[in-house]
Amino acid sequence: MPMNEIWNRRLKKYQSMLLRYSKYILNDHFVLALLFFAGGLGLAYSNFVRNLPQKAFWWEQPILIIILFLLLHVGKLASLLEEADKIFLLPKDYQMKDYLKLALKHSTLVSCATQLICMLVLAPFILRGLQWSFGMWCTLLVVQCLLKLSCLTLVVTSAYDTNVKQFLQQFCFRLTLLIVLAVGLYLNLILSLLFSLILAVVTNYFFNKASQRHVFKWNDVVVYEKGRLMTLYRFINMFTDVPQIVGQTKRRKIFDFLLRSTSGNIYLFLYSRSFIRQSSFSGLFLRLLFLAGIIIFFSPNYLFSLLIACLFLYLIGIQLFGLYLTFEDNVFTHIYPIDESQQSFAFKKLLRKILLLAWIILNVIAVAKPLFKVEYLLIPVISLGEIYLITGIFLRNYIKKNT
Amino acid sequence: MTLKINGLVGGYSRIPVLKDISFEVNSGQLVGLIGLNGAGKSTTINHIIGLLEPQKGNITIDDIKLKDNPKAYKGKLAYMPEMPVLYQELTLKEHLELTIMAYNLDPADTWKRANELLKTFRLDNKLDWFPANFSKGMRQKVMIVCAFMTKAQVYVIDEPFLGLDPLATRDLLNLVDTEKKRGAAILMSTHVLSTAQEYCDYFVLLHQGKIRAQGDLEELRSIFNDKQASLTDIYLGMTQDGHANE
Repeated sequence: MPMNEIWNRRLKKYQSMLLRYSKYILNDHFVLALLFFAGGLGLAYSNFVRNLPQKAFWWEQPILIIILFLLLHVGKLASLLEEADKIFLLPKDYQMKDYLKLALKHSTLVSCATQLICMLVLAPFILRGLQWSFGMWCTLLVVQCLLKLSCLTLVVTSAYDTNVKQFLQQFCFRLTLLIVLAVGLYLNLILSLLFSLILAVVTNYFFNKASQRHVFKWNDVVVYEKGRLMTLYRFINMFTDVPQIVGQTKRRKIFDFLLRSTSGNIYLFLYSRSFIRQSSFSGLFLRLLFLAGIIIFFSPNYLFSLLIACLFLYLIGIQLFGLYLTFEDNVFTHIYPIDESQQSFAFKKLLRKILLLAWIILNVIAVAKPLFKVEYLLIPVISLGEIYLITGIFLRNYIKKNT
Repeated sequence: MTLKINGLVGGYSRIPVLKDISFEVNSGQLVGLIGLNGAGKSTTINHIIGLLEPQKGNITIDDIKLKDNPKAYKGKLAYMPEMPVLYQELTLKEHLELTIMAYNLDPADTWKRANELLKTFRLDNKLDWFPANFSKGMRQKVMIVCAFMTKAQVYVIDEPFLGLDPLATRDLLNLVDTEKKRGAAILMSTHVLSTAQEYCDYFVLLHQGKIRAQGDLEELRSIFNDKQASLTDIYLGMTQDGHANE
């Protein structure tokens, strides 16, 4: 099978996966909350831009350079290679360059789209704050896209064995990016465009040269792709269950003191360890809690705070329901001589504790920020009721439906 | 302490894989469950440990059926799966603690025994590690320790030798022997026929979901009319016989 056919099949499979999951993401209440958040931020941003003076502040260029530099790190190379390819594509080792070129093309296109969107967001700041013309903005966009192309080319180059020291190479490359951006913002944009073009050509030359050595680093490439997918899955996992999210267990010894009291019930023993040590669950909890905390901190009134607190407690609770099924496919939980009722009892107990922790944190932020006004006390009362609803009826229905 | 399988018909769907299986594993006996891939060994084992429900017939341990008293039935049984099954997020020590909790064992006694087993299988310095990340052989050893620390009355062991080094294989066989002498009933499925011939007291030969023959080696030899035959000869003869009948 020619390499472009393999790539096309992979890409189709990958895109249909993204499409399948996007349905879940775009359906969720979570998007509503994000829209609120984005709306609020947008308002603040437009106020900020409107108040910028005619003459640019000294800090506007450095800030822009840092933002543009960070933007170059958005979007990774999607090689779509899998673990099994190490064995099945091994005989195609010498043709991997064709495959990588296709992957590079695809990732560059996607990244350029991302750069365009981010540049559109930055446009008011650049056009108004820095007093740039539209033509200059377009040139800067092209510079960004060329630099991103170089970044991605460097990633595909590292798929081959080169004698260059990775750390040094990365350092010099990042420094070059910063210099090119600084030249564009302080000296001359056309010069910066020229530099970025040269950089793209040079990285491409290195890629061609490296690929002639024919030492394809399967392990590294697969690990890189796996890491990329895990980030993606972890994001999607905030909205729906992703089967690939399992592994990733960390010992987290400092939390052992929390686990001491769990030895009365097998399921409490298992669930609490799973929650603390599996990044998918504790990470989800922390991410949602963090987001809710920030939104509540900036919330304009108590009704909005109440809405957000309830929404996020609900989301945390519903997402953690998935933990209930973690041990279903472990044969031993079925053959232990124990009462089955232990399972739902333990899970309810743990979930309630976790939600109460979130409840305390969110309410401290919500109630303490406006310095204890009376109407704000409605938030803890109502959200506490919600917790008992989630761990009561909702959980019962979930267990009934899924076992 | 007897495991009795009586007229078992069963499988994963309505079409039964197992057709009328009957045999016994008695106290102090090591029974080898022998058969080709897909013969029904694992299905039989899944029925015994209660993952599958019999469509006909029944399975009892000391005359207790799983349905009648699940706690008593399961409490008498220790299982060692073919592929090690471990908890991702539990350390080796916590696996042992969990087993003690699950089987309601006496912590002091069991830890003493567990420590001996850990030493035998050279795991005693890995108590705080996640065994899910161990190699196949080491994970298998964790399974051995977890199963044998329970001092169960009935052991069900599925293909235990794959991935074990020779030293661990010998230690496992010694362990099985000790448990047998203590009075446990042990059912072991395996493809390693030379080992089975040497250690098992009784054989159940499964083929296409039916029992082709059962008995000790002498009985099998007389069924197959060959006084000198090894278990391998008998087994291969049986399967070729089966092919001829197809």
